[in-house]
Amino acid sequence: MTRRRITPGLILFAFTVLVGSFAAIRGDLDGPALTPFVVVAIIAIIIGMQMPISLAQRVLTPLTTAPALGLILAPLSFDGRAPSAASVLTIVWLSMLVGGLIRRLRGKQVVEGSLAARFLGMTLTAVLARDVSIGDTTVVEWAFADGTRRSWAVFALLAVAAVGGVFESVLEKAIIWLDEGGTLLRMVTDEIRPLAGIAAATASAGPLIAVAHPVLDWVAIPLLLLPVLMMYLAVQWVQDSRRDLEESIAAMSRLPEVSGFSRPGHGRRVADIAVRIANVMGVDPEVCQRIERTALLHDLGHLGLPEPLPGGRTLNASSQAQDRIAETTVRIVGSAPMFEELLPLLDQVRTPFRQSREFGDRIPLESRIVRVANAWDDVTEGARSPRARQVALERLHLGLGYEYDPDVVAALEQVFVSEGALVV
Amino acid sequence: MIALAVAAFFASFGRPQAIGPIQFSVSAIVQLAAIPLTGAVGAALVSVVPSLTERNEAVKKIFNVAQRVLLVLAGSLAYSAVGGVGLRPALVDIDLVALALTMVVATAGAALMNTALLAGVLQRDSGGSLDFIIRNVTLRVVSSYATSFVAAYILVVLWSPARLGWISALFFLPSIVVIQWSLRQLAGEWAVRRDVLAPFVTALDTRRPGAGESSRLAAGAASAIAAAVGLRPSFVDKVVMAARLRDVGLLALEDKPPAIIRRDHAVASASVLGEVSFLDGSLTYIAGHHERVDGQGRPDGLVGAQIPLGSRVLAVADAWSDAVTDGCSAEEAVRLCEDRVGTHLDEVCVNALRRAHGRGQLPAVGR
Repeated sequence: MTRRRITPGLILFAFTVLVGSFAAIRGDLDGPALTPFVVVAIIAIIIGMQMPISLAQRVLTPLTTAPALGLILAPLSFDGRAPSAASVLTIVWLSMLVGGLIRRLRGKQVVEGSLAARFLGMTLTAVLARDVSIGDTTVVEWAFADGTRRSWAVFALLAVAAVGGVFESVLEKAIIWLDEGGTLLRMVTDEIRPLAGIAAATASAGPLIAVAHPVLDWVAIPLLLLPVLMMYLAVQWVQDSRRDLEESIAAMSRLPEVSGFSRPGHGRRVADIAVRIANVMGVDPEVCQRIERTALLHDLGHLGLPEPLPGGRTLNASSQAQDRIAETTVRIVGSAPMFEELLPLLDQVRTPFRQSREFGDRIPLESRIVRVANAWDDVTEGARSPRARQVALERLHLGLGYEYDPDVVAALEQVFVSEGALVV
Repeated sequence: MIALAVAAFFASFGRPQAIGPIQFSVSAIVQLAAIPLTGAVGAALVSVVPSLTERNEAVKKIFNVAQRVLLVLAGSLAYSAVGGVGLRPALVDIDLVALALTMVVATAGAALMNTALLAGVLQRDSGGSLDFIIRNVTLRVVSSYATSFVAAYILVVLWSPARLGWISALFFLPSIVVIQWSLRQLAGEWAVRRDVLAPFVTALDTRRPGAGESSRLAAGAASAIAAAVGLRPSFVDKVVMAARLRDVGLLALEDKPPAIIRRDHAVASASVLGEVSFLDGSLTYIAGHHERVDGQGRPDGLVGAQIPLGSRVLAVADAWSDAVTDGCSAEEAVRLCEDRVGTHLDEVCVNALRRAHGRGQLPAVGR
C-alpha cells in the first residue's frame, strides 16, 4: 500500500478546514437563512464544483466562484438582519464540501490545495465586504444603501472580489512553488496570459449577481452565470481542439509505419528523444512543442518514394531520396493550414550542419535536434542496450560538426549519461 | 446610446465566427438591448457601428449596414406591436416577466428578418430549394439568437431596473468578450477537425494519385445527400468526414493482393485512424459502407436498416463519386445508383441523391 505524501496543498486544506469550522461555530444560521436566492446559490456552488477547469497548473471552478461571490456580496437578510461574514462563509464552505464529496463519489479528483485557496480567497472577500467597517458601515451595507449610486457600488464590490481573487491566486501559486519549485517570473507569466480573461469574467459575475439580486432575486444567479458557463464551454472546446490535434498528429506520424515505409514506433521514439534533448538544452515549452511535432511528422515523406528504404532508414539514403522525402513531407503536412509554421522546420531536417558552418545557412534549432534524434534511432533501431547506444554515439561523433550540430549531440549524450544508460 | 455604441464597437472587433456555412456575431446582443433602451432610431444607429470596423469594399459595407438596420427595425416593430415600453435608467417599477416576453418577440422579429434575408441570398447564390435553405438557416439562426436574447436581457435589466445605467455596458464588456471568445473557440475546433484531416487524404493521394479528387467528390455528394435526408448538422459533419477518409485504410494494405484490399479496406481505416477519438462515429460509417441493403455486403452482411444510416449515405456517395471518376456524367452516375436500389443501395438515400442533383448541389467534376 502506498502512503500519501503530505504536500503543502494538504497542509493548507487542513488549515482551511479549521477556518471553515471556526466560521460554522461563529455563524448564525437558522431557518430563515434558506431563502430561494441562498438555495439556488448552494445548488450552483455544488454543480460548479463538478465542472473544474485545469489551466496553467491551476484548477479553477468559475461556476462555483461566481455564485459564491454573488452570495457573499449580495444584500441578504436572515430574519431581518444582515448576516455576518461567518454566516455566509458557513454556507459557502458546506456547499463546497458537499460539491467536493459528490465529485469524489463520482470517482473524480478533487485538488485539496486549490479548494483551500479558493475558500480562503472568498474568506478574505467576505471579511472585507461584511465585517470590516469603514466609519460605521460595511462595504455591503454602503453599496446597497438608498443614497449610494449603484455604479460606485458595483466598482467597490468588484474591488473586494478582486482582492480575494488575487489572494487565492497567490496562495495556489505558493503551494505549487513549495511543491515543485520554479521561477517566480515564469509563474507570474504563466498565470497572466491564459487566466486573465477567466478571472475577469468570474470576478465581474459575482458583483453583478449581487447588484441584480434586489431586482431579479434568485433568477440573477442562473442568468448571470450564462456568460461564465459559455467561458467554461469555450475552455473545454480549446482542450478538445488540442486533444483532436495531438491525436491526429499521432495518427499521421504512424502513416509511414502502417504502410511499411518505416520501422514500428520510429516516429514516437524520435519525438521522445528530441523532446528530452530539448529539455536538456532548456528550450521554451512552445519551441519544445514544435520540436515534438516536427519529429512526429518528419518521416511522412517516405510515402513519396517508389519503394521503402532498407529498414526505413534515412541515414544512408541518397540526397535525391532525401530531397524527395522532404518535398513529399511538405506537400502532405502543408495541406493542413494549421501546420504552416512546421513546413520550414520539416524541410530543413535533411540539411547537414556544415551548411550552417560553411555557408552561413540558418538551420532552425528544431530541425537540428530532430536530425540528431532521427539519426540516433536509425542506428539503434529502438534498441536500448549500452552496446547499441555506444555504437550510435560513435556514429554521431563521426559526423560531428559536418552532419550534426555538436551542441545537440552533447545534449543527447547528457540525456543518456544522466540516466546512467551511457558511459562516455 | 453612446455607451451602447461603444459596446457595439467592441462587440464588432474580430471577424464574425464561421461555424459551418453560417457566421455568428455578438453585435446582435447590443443591438437587441438597444431596442428597449434607445428606441427604434437609436437601435438603428447603434447597429451601424460595426461597419466602422469592417474592412470590406463599399458595396459590401452598405449591404451589411442595410441588413443590420432592417433586422433592428423588424425587432423594434415587433417590440412596439406587443406593447414593449421604452426604458430609461433607474426605471425600477417594471414587470420583468413582461419585459422578457416583449424582448422575446423583438428577438423573434429580428431573427425572422435575418432568416428571410439570409435564405434569399443563399438561394440566389446556390439556386437550391428555398424550402430546404430556410429549414437549414432557421435552425442555426434560432440557436444564435437565443443566446443573444439572454445576454441582451441581462444587459437591459442591469441597465435600467438594477440602476447601473451606462456602467452596466462597461461591466458587461467582459461577458461580451467571453461570448466572442467562446464562439471563436467553437469555430476553431470546427476548423481543426475539418482541416487536420487533409494530410491523410494527401498521403493517400501520394500513393494512389486521384484519391484526393475522389475524396472531394464523395465528400461533396455525402454532404448533399445527408442534408437532403434530413440529418442534423453534427451528423452531416460526421458523414462528410467519413466520405473524405473512406479509402485511407488502403494505406495499411500496401502490396496486398486485390482480393484482400477489396475485403479489408473499409475496416482497415481503423488501423490508420483509430487513435483519433473524434472520428469514432465516422469510422463506424466507413466500416459499414460496403454493406448492401440485400445483406450480400461486407464485412457483416447487414440488411437494410441494420446498416447505420451514415453508412448507407456514404455508400451512395461512394458509388456516385466512383462512377463520375470513371468518366460517367453526373446524371449517368445518378441513374447508375438508381439501378442499384434494393440490392446495393438504400432507396431513401438514392432519392436524396436525385433531389440533390436536381438542385445542383452535387460537386462538379475536375474543379
